[in-house]
Amino acid sequence: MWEKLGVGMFFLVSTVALTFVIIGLSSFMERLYKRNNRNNK
Amino acid sequence: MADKSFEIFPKNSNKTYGLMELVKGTAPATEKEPEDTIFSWPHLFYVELIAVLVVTAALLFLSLYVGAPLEEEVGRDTTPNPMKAPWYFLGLQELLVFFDPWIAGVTLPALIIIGLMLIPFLDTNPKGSGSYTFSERKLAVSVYAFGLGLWTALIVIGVWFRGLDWSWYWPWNDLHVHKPPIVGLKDLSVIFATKLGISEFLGNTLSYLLVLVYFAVGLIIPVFIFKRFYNRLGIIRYVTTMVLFLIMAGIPVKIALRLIFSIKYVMVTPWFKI
Repeated sequence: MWEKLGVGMFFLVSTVALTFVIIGLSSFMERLYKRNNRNNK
Repeated sequence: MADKSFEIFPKNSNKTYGLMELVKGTAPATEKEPEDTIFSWPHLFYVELIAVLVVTAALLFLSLYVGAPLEEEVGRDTTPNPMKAPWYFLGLQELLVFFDPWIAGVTLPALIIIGLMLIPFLDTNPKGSGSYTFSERKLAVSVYAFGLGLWTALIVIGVWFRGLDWSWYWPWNDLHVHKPPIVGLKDLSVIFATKLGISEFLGNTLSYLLVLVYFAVGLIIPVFIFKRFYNRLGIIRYVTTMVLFLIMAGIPVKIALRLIFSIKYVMVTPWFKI
């Protein structure tokens, strides 16, 4: 039972974690873009 | 250093301008002065050219100095166990554990492609056109990131957590020892029938109802919570968006039900099983 729960939770948690990593990368790139854009003006 | 910037529309220009067309809506440059824009040539293209050269050089060095991970020559009477596809197909191969082959291999990939193609027709958010950033389209980026996160998780599992007989192997498990096959997987209709003491037909009907309720609730509840979202999209765009979203959100739910509760299929029909 614990093995099954572990596998299932690992799948769900890694999906959610990867989603937030991708959103974080997206926000980071946005910040980088905006900072460079300000510097170039 | 001399100032190299130049005016795009010099004030004493002899050029004449004519109004060609009036277009409704907003465009990326709507609120920008001409002085606030720059030409893509050479400003953008130079950066892109440098990026192309850097990537090409990196790939060249990688291919020269890092050998491809080829295995031994294929034997006619030995099939490798596990037989793993290239990493980028492992998400698809992992889906095959949980869905019918034609659903995992044909329908779901087709839905991904159709969904991506429909984005320009479904997305009515005028903000950030030209720069699709998170702060300007939180919902769209979040939904897309969820899809990509799910796909990546399936690839990660396929690459690092599947071993002999496609069983689940944690990093601390011995990869050379076979794991006992998973037994006791049951369809949801059978679980309903045994737990509630009803006929298999009724159990099956109940499982159909459950899937129907999932889609009905997923379609109706957001109409009341996100009224603006619904009004902006209109019924056809809203239903298309939500059905695609609910199918995507249903995939991890179905996978988790199988992994945690040993539910083989949620809905069994004579034509397909999900």
